[in-house]
Amino acid sequence: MTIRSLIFFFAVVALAHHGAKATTFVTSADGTTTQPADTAYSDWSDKGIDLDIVVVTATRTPKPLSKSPIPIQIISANDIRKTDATNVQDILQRELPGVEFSYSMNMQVNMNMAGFAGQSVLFLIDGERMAGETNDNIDFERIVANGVDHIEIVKGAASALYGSSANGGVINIITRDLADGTEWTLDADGRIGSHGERRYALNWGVRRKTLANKIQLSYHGSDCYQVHSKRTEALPLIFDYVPGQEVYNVGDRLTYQPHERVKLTGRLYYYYRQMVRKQGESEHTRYYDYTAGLRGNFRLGKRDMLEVAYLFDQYDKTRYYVPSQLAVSDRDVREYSNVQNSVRALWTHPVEQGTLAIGTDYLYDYLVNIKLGNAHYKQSSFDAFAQYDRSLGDNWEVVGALRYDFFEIGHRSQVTPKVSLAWHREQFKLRTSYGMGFRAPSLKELYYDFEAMPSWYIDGNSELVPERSHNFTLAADYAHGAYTYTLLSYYNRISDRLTTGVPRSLADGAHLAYTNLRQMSITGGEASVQGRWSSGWRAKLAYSYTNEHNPDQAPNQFMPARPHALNYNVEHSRTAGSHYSWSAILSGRWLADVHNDEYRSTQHPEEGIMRVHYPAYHLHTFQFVQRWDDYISLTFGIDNLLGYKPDNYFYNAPLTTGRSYSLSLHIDIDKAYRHWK
Amino acid sequence: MANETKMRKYFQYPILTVLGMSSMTFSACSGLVDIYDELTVQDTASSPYRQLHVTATTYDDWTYLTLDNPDSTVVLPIPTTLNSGEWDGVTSYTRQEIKLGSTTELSSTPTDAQPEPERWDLAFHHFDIRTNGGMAFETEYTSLDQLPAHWSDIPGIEWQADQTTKDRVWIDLSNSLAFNIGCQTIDISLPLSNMAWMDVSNPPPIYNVSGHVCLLRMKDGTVAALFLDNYMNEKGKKGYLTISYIYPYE
Repeated sequence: MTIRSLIFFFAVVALAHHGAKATTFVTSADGTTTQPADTAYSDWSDKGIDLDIVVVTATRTPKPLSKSPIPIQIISANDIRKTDATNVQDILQRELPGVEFSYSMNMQVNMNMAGFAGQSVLFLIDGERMAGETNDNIDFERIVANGVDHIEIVKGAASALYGSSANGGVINIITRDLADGTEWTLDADGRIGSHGERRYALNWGVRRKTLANKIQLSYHGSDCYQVHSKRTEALPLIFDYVPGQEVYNVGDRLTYQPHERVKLTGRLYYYYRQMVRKQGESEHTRYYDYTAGLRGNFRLGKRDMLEVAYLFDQYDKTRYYVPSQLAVSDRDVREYSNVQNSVRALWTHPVEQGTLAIGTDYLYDYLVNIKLGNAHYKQSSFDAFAQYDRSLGDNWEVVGALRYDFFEIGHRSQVTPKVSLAWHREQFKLRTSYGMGFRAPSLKELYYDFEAMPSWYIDGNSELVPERSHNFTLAADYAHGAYTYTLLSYYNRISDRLTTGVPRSLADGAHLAYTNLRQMSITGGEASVQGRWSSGWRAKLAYSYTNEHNPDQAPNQFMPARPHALNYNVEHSRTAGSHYSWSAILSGRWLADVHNDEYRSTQHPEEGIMRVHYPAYHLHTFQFVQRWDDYISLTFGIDNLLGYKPDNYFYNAPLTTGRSYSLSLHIDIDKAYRHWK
Repeated sequence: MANETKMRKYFQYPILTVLGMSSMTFSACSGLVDIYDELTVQDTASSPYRQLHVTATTYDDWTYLTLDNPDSTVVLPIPTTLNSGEWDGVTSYTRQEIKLGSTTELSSTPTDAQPEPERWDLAFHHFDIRTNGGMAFETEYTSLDQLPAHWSDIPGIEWQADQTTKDRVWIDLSNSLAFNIGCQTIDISLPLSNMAWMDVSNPPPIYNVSGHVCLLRMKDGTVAALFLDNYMNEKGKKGYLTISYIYPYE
């Protein structure tokens, strides 16, 4: 860390300390919120750390956050709004210290969360899986901040409830719904920024008796631009351009509640993204998604609940030939399509001192890809699971879950257990758990046949076995006064990790095949402290530690996890009169340097391995938010406040060329209408 | 293309698109399939112009032809060593570090001269084109239909002879992920070679086309007009060039 950054951090801490002088108890651990004595600040509708928020991801049953027996992190609607983020990438990086997004060939995005790459972290939207992948990561642009209510994050293996790909954790995106009793809502959002960044979004909701409908529209885009590295040696994993893109997300959700015991929800979703890597290129890559789902929630008897859902999700990639005089111009040709049809059912039955949940899922997975020799592959998978969640006296709670998964290809079966134990007294909560995770090899990893570059191939491997992990977690939360403290530590033992292996030189070039690594482990932890004071100050500091231990010493396919990372957020809010308030928010993150063993040339593995150093960096953002009458907000933002510019644009470097600016406007039209009416 | 126009309408009316999806005929298992275009290369059999089709998918040779008889091609390998003992002063095997915006020469070794057939007008190496002592000019016309009756009516013609390039003719891409590319140092026609352009400086390749008609003046003074129709086959594989041309262009 440089002297300048140290001074900056001290300044941040001093600022927070200054704000802490006049503290008043605001939020208690049981979720009750008391009004501060000093009301001369605007809390921006912030209810503090809302422990009453109902979470579903940890146990697949609704539960107040304070009662969750499994550690779960929440990024609230208020947090999301303050980030002024466009997509889930921005939100996660700003809020979670152990999350980093890096890039790979063709600037495809890869996530790393606590040592697990994106393919080992299960992303859900309202509890439902997403079709399609690139580098086995979901298309993160499908999750725009506009439609998100809050995000629930469960770290560690959760395959006992969620099956394949949940061996590193689950990130469940809970979308916004029309609040009970609301007749209509309408809000609009716009943002412009450097590098041609633009974002426009509209949400419109209407309720008529038993029917409620919500439409979400959003568009965002940016221009492509070049970046220049200062490198003095051949370093392969760097990029020279940041692609531009155009992204549309359109969603509609219709809810019909003919009876208090019955709720039917239908949803449709359309997604389009076009990536432009260079001005004037004659071919663009496009991405589409079409989703249609139907869900029924039924209350049976006194307290039994049954949820039955069907989801169709098709994710396509196409090559679009730009209009010109070429014989193939102006054509949009499909190159990849992943179609998933899934049916699921979940029955929850209250029992003495607890809840029993029993569920089952069926997934039909269909994949066609020109990189599979233009062949199509299909696979059915089925699972059944049960979970018993029980209180033991006043202070103890135990959860046990067991799941069985069956995959058609190879007739593979998998049994995964999870046990959690929680103890709490007043403001203190201690949780520990053991869970098993697994990731079944994808159709791509089994059957890929792709000439990525002339003389360089990526091959599937039909002999692959599922990756498995054993996860042990210990977590503690403590709330005192204006402060909340959290600690989380974990150990993961991973066998048969799915990745690409050692390249082989064959007659037609180098071949990189998918393989299973023998064994590796990830140890780590997180610590955070946050405070909120009646003087209008609020601050949060979070640190994460990740240690990957790979005895095989196999070169990492993706960027390694950084061992240390720090996120902070300091904000101050004030009101001026009855119609105007403002907030000043300073936030940032620091990521430690990391070394990685990589092939000097993946096309020529015989040239050996080199150790590459990826430097530390820190980025800071300042936002000034003004609000008028609670229905208009105007945010001016400065990203990369200190003007950091990487010497070399490694695949894990931030996409920045220095300080950048943004301006965004949000209008709650329904609130404005009611105000003026 | 009609389907693309259809897609654009989808974007203009996104809600209708989403709602309309539910009424589309599709198999739930394999999804919506008829909403995209097929990569059928335009039927050019009825084209009023002559066409030449060149398969130039490999990187280690040049394909030679004449405009009189373009179907008869001669493929000759690119030399990478100097076996004859006599260097022509130009032809070399050069290793370059090629990245967006910068090219650094790592090494250069003289080689034998590029072998050529007795009679040829144009030579093709992937998207690179050489002339047999000719000169070329890139016009502003985007179709052969737009050309005036006589080439001499085209204003501002500045003929360019083939020029020596050290980083354009890529013959060894086996280390391209490290940006280390083996090139042939040789004279090529830049106006003709720029009709299609592949950039591998940041993999995967980025493709560009000029979209302009080029004029070629042979060393005997006759002139041809050429236009690149396509650079791929019906499966999307690059290196299959289709060029419409007028020859002789009076």
